Order: sequence, then C-alpha cells, then structure tokens
Amino acid sequence: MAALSRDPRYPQIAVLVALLAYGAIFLDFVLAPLAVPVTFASALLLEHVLARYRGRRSPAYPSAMITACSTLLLFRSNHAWAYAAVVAIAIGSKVALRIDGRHFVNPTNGGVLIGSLVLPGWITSGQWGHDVLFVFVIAAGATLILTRAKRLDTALAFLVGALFWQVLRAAIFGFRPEVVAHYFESGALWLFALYMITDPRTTPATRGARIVHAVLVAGVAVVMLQFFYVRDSFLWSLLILSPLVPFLGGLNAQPRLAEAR
Amino acid sequence: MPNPASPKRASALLLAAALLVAPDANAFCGFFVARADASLFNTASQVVIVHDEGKTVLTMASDYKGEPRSFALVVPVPVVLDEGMVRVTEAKAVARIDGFTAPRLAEYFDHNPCQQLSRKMRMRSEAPTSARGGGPGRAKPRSLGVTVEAEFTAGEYDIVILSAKESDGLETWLRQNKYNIPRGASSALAPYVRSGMKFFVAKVNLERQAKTGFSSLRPLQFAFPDRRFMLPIRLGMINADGPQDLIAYVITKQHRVEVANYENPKLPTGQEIPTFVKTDFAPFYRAMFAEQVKQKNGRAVFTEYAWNMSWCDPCAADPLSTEELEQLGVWWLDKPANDPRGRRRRPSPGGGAQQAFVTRLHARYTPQTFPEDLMLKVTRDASNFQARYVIRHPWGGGTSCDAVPTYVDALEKRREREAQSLATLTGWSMAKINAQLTPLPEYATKRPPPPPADKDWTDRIKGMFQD
Repeated sequence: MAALSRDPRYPQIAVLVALLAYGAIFLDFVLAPLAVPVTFASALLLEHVLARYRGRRSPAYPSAMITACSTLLLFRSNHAWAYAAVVAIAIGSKVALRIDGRHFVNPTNGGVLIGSLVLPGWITSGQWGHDVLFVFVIAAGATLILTRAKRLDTALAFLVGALFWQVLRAAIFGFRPEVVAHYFESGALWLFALYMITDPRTTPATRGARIVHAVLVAGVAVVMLQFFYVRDSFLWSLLILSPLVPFLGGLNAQPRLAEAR
Repeated sequence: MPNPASPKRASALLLAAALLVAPDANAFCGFFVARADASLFNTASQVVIVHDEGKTVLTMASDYKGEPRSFALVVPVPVVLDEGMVRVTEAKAVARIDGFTAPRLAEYFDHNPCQQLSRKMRMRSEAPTSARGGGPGRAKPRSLGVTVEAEFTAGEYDIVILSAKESDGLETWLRQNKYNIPRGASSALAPYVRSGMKFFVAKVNLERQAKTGFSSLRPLQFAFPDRRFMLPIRLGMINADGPQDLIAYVITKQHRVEVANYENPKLPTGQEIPTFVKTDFAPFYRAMFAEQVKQKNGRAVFTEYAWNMSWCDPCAADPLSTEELEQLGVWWLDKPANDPRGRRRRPSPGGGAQQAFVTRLHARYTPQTFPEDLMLKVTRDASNFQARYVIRHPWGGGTSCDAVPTYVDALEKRREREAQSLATLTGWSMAKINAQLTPLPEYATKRPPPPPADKDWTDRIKGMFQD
C-alpha cells in the first residue's frame, strides 16, 4: 500500500483522467465513441502480453495507463483502432528500441508522432483555454513536486529553456513579448513539460545531463518552429534528440556505452 | 433582406456609428492603408484559403468602404510572386461560399396531432452580397533597403512585391510613396521582414477600374508555395480600433482544418429556439456569436462549418459548381464530363464525395486577445459539422380531439425550453425573450371526460374484495 501511494504514476493518472473527463464533457475533444475503452484496453492488454513475453513478473500497468491517457489527450482520430495503433507503437517501442537494455524513446511521444504520420489521425495542440490550463498546471505541478521531486529539475530546465529560447527568438525576429507568453498557453506544452520530459526512463540519469538535455530539447523546438514551421515542435524535438539520451546519461551512468563509442 | 451570416450584416445605423468612432479602422490579413484624411471602415474581412501539400491560393475580399483612391493592401508572402500567380476573381464566388457555409436555421412545422401528416421541412438562408471599394496611390523604390521584386497589374489593381532589409526602411518607403502608414507599422512589420518574407502590396489603378465597369473592387487572389500554412492577422491590427471580425473559408482536399495556436471550439449547434428568430436571424446570430466570444474571453476562433463540398443536408445554398470552386482557387478538380455547365450534382452522403472540404472559421480579434498570427493545421477529420438552429412552428389548431391537450402540454414545455436555449445562446434576458414569443393559436384544450371504466369488471372486483 505504501508503495502504491508513493508511486508517482498514480496521482499522475488521476490528474490525466480528470482532465480527459473534463475535456470530453465540456471542451470540444473530438473523441470517437469507442476511443476511450479501446485505448485503455489495448494499452493494458499489450503491456500484459509484452511483460509475459519478456518474462517479467509484474507488467507496468500504471505506465500503460499513462500512455493511454496521454494518447487520448494528444492524439485525435475518427477511428478507435487508430488509438489502439498509437498505443501499440508507444508500448512496442519500449521493447523494440533499446540501447544497452534501456528504452530511450518516450513511448507516448513516439507513438503519437509516428501515429500522426502513418495513421488517419492528427496531434491536437491542447488549446484548452486559460482556466482549464491553469488548473491543470497547478494539479500536475503539485503531483510532480510531491511524488517525483527529483525530476522537477527536468521540468524547470525545459520551461526556463523554452522561455530563454523564445525570448531570444522574439529579440532576433522582432516578435512582441505577448508572443512569448502565448507560447506557454498550450496545454500540450505543459503536459509535455510536467509529465513527459520528466519520465525518468527516457531522460539522462544525472542532473547535469538532464538539464542540458531539456534545454536542448527546448532550443531545437524553437528552431523547428521558427525555420521549419513545425506545429508542436517540442514533441518532435524530444523524439529527434532521444538517441542522444543514452549518450548523455552514459557519460556517468553508462560507461560501457561510452567505451563502445 | 439582411443576410444572417454575412459579415456585412451591420445595419445602416450601426455602420454610421462605426464610421464616426473608427474613421481609420481597418482589418485584414494584411492591412488597408488610409491616405490623407480619407475615411474608411472595415470591421470584417473574408478570406478564402485553398491549401494542399504546402501550396496555397489566397483570396482576399473585404467590405472596404473607404475612399477608393486610399485603398491599399499589404500582405506578407513567403516568396516573390510573378504576374501569372495573381489575378482578380469574382466577388460572387466568395459570396457563394459565404452563403453555402453560413450558420443556418432549419424550420419544421408541427403536424396536426389529430392527424398523421408528413413533416415539412425547409431551409432558410440567403447568399450574401459582397461590397467593396478602393483607390490607388503611387510608389517607386528608394535606397531604404527596400527592393521592388516585381511590379505588374491584375485587373483593377497595381501590384508590387517588395522585399525589405529593415522594417523601418519599409515603413519609410511606404510613407514616401504616400501611404499614410499608421504608427507602429514598423514594429508590426518587423517579424515578417526579419523572417525574410516578401510583401504583396496592392492598390487600385483608377483608370483600369473605370474600364472594368465594376463600381466596387473585386477580390484579389494569389498563389504561392506555403509551408507555413498560416494567416497573418497581426498587420490588420495596426490601426484597428476595436474588435475585428475575420471569416476564413479554408478549402482542402478532404479534411477539416483547425487552428493550432488558439482554442478552436465549434459553435453551439442543433438547439431548438423560438419561432420569432425566423424574422430576427441576423440579430440572433450576432448576439449568439458575441456571447460565445465572451464566454471564451475573446480568445477563441470558432468553427462554424466543416463539410465535404459535394453535398449538404440541409443546404443553406446550392453546392458550389466546379467553376465557382475554381474561381476561389481550387486547382485540383476534374471537370465533370457529363455536365456541360460543370454544375455539381448533389450526391447522397457517402457517395461521390468531391475532393473539396471546406472549414469556415470565424474569429473576433483584438491586438490583446490575438497576439500571434493564426497557425492552421489540416486534421484527418472528415466528419461534417454545421452551425444549425431549429425552429418548430406550432400546429395551427382548428380541430379538436383527445390528443390536443397532451400536445398543448408538451408544446408549452417545449416553448419554455426553446426560450431557455435562446437565453443561454445569446445572453438575452428571459423577460426580453418572453416578450417576443409568438402567441399560440387557440386550441380546443378542454379535456373530454375520462372514458367510463369497465363496469362489469369493477363490480366483480369490488364484490370479490368484499368477500
């Protein structure tokens, strides 16, 4: 029970489910009728099957739940099966893409991005309005501080980095300060900053490396936004930089990989 | 008759008031420039964006009402456009797509509760008219870091494509060429200049305009490769005074378009509202839109319509013909071989879908609420949506039967619900709504006496229970 209450994933699931329920009822979340049950069922089932296959005794159901919630918040499709496919890509990537026994691509991030390319679906930018965004940031920030305080550095590094790069962009290209503020009004950005880039399994092991990584993700995102007009570029930035993670973390925690290089 | 959906729906009185308040006001994706003290007014602009695979055809129509010679339009574009990529198109085509996508009222008639009558349903909506005006100016390049990349005419317009090294230089150049650039233009132009964008600058050639025989200006249309897929609204705010309306009709091959950087809800739809709205649809739509904007703190872009162009149900207007779509810049359509006029038939849902999907977006923006240009995104959503409101006319009465009192009870409850819906949608008070409700006809509501119970049976039961 103590382990249950300390597991940071449970409060995270609670916040995501609440947001999802609110969005489906009061905001115009375009969700196919079967999308919600199909997404959760396929995530849990796949996690179960893969855990069996890999001989693990306890499947990571909470992680599968988080993947399902985040998929439903970030991905949109008129077809329920497309959600199942995104979840399959996400959870499958944990097994398929491993370096040195460790998966390095954030499952949901990879799932929704690849899904948006190959499936009949698209990524929603999380424009939930001020009030909902405010409540979400408070709730998600609180769960992060209370349960995963060690990973607060990553969230802060990303947010401060994003602010820095945005201010720099505004200064170079002559945008008004309001444009910088507007960048932070995206729900998807806060979901990413508080719950995605803070995933301990797909970020470097040492604090210094995590900060460098997060600031880099924020910077590449701004470059992609300004020069390549990529929407929700922070998601793509994290995916593109994910092969760097084992290397960054490896400087301290994974000497074998560093030697292999 | 006022068009309920047209941005030109303001009454003459409203228009006069706005002219007094905002002699310089304008709004556009680019911006109109007033020269000298010419007064102009523009609170709404209409833009048709045809987009597919990183290519865009943009049509800009406005209800420009200022002094014609003062008209000028400045739009940032990603590349230098050559003459062949610019043309004028028919205002009628823009009016047609406005009429086709306009929020609509569906009308039903209650049948006689004493008889089985088939329901009648009809649609009400009108195609709008488009009104514009304009005027010319003169311009020549100077050494301000401004380069005239191209210079040509299209219809009644003189067009220059400019590139600039500095926004200050561009502002000075425009001033030297006798455009009365509003204060702050330079800082608004800066992000586009520094991002390497070019400027499409149009003004009216009075001589050519006289030859066209048109009293008003036709929409300008231009095509360019466009990986950004955005709508530059910030320039339109430079000398705007008060909120501006923008209606964008975005046509893609088969999917809905949404706004990536602002909340983009759909307008409420499907509500049953009181019948008097039929004659007051324009005020209803204005009030309803204003109320929705207010509820989102002025920070949302509303989707008013999203539908495959090949059919509609109910249709606010006939679907656009291939010619009309081509006038709007749709370049990928095949002309139907079996129809010499190119008029589209109206296929049933699911069958014969044409490759054109229109999304109608409506924004009311101010510099404070919309700090950034609209970033658009093509979704994979092909499902249809329309802002549609329903009125149900009560049965006219006249006959009497058992079903009448039940009908009247239900009708009274329904009228209450309708009034409540209207209040929620528009923010109007219930008192105001109740005062306008159409009186009900006289119904023969006297309930007939209840049918006599089965006397044999009740007697038997009573006898049995007493035993």
